Amino acid sequence: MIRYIKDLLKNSWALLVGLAVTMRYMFRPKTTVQFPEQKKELGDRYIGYVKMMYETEGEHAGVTKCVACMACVVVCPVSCIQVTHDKHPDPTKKRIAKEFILDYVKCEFCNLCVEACNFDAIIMGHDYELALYDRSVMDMVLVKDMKYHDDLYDASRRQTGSANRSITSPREREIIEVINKKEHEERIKKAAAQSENAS
Amino acid sequence: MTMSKSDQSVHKRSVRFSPERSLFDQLPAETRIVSRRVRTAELRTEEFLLNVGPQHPSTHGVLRLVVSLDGEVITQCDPDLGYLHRTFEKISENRTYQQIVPFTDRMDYLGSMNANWGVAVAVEQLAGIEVPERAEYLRVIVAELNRIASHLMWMGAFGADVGAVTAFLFGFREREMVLDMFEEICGSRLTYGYIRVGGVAEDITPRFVKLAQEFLDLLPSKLNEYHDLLTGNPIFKQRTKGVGVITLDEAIRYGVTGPMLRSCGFPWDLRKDEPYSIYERFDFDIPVYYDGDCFDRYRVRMDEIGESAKIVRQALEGLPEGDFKVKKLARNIKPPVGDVYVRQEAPRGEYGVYMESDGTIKPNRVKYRTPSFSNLSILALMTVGWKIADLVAILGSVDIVLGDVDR
Amino acid sequence: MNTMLSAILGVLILFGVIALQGLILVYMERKVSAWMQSRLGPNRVGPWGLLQTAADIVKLLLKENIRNERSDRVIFFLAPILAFVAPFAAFVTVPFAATIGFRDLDMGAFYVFALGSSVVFAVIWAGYGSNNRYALIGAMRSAAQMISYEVPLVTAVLGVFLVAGTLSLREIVQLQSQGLWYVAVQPLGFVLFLVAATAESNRAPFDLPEAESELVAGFHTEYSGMKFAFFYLGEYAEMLVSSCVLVVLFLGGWLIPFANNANVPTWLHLLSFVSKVYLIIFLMMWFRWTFPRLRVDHLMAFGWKVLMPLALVNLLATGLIVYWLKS
Ligand code: SF4
Ligand code: SF4
Repeated sequence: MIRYIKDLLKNSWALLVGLAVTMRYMFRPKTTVQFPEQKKELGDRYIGYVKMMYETEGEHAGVTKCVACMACVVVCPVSCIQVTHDKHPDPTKKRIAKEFILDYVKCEFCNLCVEACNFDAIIMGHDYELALYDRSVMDMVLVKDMKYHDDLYDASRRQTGSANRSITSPREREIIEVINKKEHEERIKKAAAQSENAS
Repeated sequence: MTMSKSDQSVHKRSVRFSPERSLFDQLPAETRIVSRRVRTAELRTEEFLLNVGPQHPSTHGVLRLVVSLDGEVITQCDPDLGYLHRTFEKISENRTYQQIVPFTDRMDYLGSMNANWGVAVAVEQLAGIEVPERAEYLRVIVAELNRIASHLMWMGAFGADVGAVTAFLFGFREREMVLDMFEEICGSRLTYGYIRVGGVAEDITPRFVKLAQEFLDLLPSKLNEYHDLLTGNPIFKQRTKGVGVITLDEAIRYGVTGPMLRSCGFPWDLRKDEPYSIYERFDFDIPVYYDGDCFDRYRVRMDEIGESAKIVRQALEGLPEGDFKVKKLARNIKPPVGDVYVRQEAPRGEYGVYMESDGTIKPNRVKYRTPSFSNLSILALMTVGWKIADLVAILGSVDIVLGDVDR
Repeated sequence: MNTMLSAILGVLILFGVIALQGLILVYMERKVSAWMQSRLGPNRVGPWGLLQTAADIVKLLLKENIRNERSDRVIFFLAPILAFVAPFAAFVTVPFAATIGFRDLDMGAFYVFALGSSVVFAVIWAGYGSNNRYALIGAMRSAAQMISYEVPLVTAVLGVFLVAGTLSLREIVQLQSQGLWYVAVQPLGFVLFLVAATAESNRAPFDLPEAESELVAGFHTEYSGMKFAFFYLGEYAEMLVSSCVLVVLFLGGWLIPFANNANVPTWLHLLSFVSKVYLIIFLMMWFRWTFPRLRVDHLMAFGWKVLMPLALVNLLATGLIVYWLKS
């Protein structure tokens, strides 16, 4: 009998302790990050998806840095990179990538290709909002005719209609600001117009 | 290092493992016999077959259980596996040694660091690669942080299984802090690929150290909250105490490892028993409980969080300067002919990698021994005689990751 | 004719009020749970997410009604209606304020409890009719649970009726205005009633019939669209009714504490009633988002071995004291 009452009181007390925990949290600041408006700060090493780098100055500005050495093609565990090569417009260099295609569906974001590249030609971009409605565009062409080309970025912009997507990687922002600013703005405008038309 | 009060186990029952005594001395003299209560109704009734999964809120992935019921009481439970089978062993046999590592992330996706580590060590032992000391420290730090994250997430999922949804959110909230740290050092939040053959992918940053210190300082108070919310709660105790008991004998026969084995009163932890890497340098305890029920599995894991925090603290303090990976490593490693079996203590139990080299750049045979598979195999035995509500609690207490079960 | 018209009007008003309360309660449940879990809760639709539940209702209305081919058509259709109508009808006798209320029944309390326990039929029908094994288990659990909780629930309030000497809800409130509220007279009865009422309205930690992590969605696994919405609304109506009855029986109904209740405007009385009801509902939500779910046999044990003896002790003590005071 006494044990019954003792147990009853003890258990009720334990329940009250639990209730106190949830009540405390009721008035604490919340941990939610309101995603599209607020974004978590990403580390420098964040692995978004593979991006191509370009010559930033000189005669060949805007031309890809990739010299088609195939190191990344060999190292990729899922063989999702395809590179074709051509003669480099700069006579001091031998080869240049004519087309660089990455199968975004297969890529497992392991970063091995970036580490393998000795020419700093590819980096990991910080863009993670890459929702797409269509698998067919996921074979992303990073270089076309030796020039900047990023259809995945365009396609996801077009399909999800979010023209205000921010570019979060400082390194990326730098490139785009230096070389491709005008071209990039045009792209954004085009994408915005397209998404407007679509809706 | 002085131990702060908050570092101590809340239950004060963690025992120290004594390496002097041999394994079998530590078996209890008589293993308790637990009667599995299969009640047969006086009325002959029809068997009630219930198909739990593969789509069900609490099967933690795509597990299918065919359960025979007598009223609410389970008379038979047949797990049906293989929905997540991705042939990782065969894939690994067709990749070079360095390329294997990213695939292991996808096996035990809640303990990726440990999964990477096993493969890395196997390749290093095959090829005779010496890993720098700093790399070993970094490996221990990330592996133990991963253990904390895994146990926190398990705590939340287990809470949700028994109906305390708030614990689920709490567990995820704290796990998020660990993921932030991992994102800082390796750029990913789930499939890290951080521990590589010959070291780690990249060195840690000052921000990582800061985040880790903050997290370790915060952890004890959060643990106390979980204890207030779950451990002390009489309903939670009722749901878990004495539920799904396995004896030590059964556990050993089924090859159960990790916290499940330690909850049966057997202090078996590879970090103490076969100290690999640099674990013998750290001062930590192996939590052991004796009842072998869901509640003890819960307590073992909760105490392990504290012990892992202790290890991380010590490792951060003793972190030496130096290289974080082997300087000169061939693009394609060609180990001499031979084979190796490496086993380590992953969050879920014993994780083993068998690797056989034929002298080429690809392994001849790879075999993964994943803890979740053998831990799950005892489910059929454990659930018989319990109610359908207990099935969920027992399944939750096993801490399975279906990717780890099916590979 | 006139009575007919006023009856229809009353039903419409009541339906409107309860549907609105349902919307508010769902919103409140989401916010409370979110805050307790250090989240923000709905905040996108409308200011502070106020229109979220309205949007959900629209979604449910537009959803296709799916019926299992081998389900029992009539029973499957009737179950959600009964689940909502029973608690809805119980509101008829609840006195909201001194002058507001639909009908005063002499046996008001009895009527409310009778209707409250008939919800179990809806659950059993739903479980049987939908030809789903999870639903069936949920229904069986519900039947067992209802029996174990109905008895302590009623026994717990018998003390109040002994003290008050009447079964009419309005009279019970009026009696409380002359003396102490019955929560002070019957503290044990209050706690028992609160627990049993939570169990009665199938709320966590006693939500076994729908136990999400075990039975997917329990008895309403097969329901979709508006039928599901009716179950949902029914649950909240049930919760409202039990808290209304609790407030009337123990917390002095519409009375305002520490005030002269004779010359206070009716709207203040109404406000006091509503805020008390919401306080009780908040308590129930607080329980839900803190405690794990009980197992079915522990629930039974808790009902018969803890609540029932305590209720009997309470009844005995009250009876003795009332007898001693009277003589
Ligand atoms: S990140 Fe990994 S999988 Fe993706 S392209 Fe690079 S090497 Fe291949
Ligand atoms: S991206 Fe780098 S590694 Fe790959 S082909 Fe081009 S230069 Fe070589």
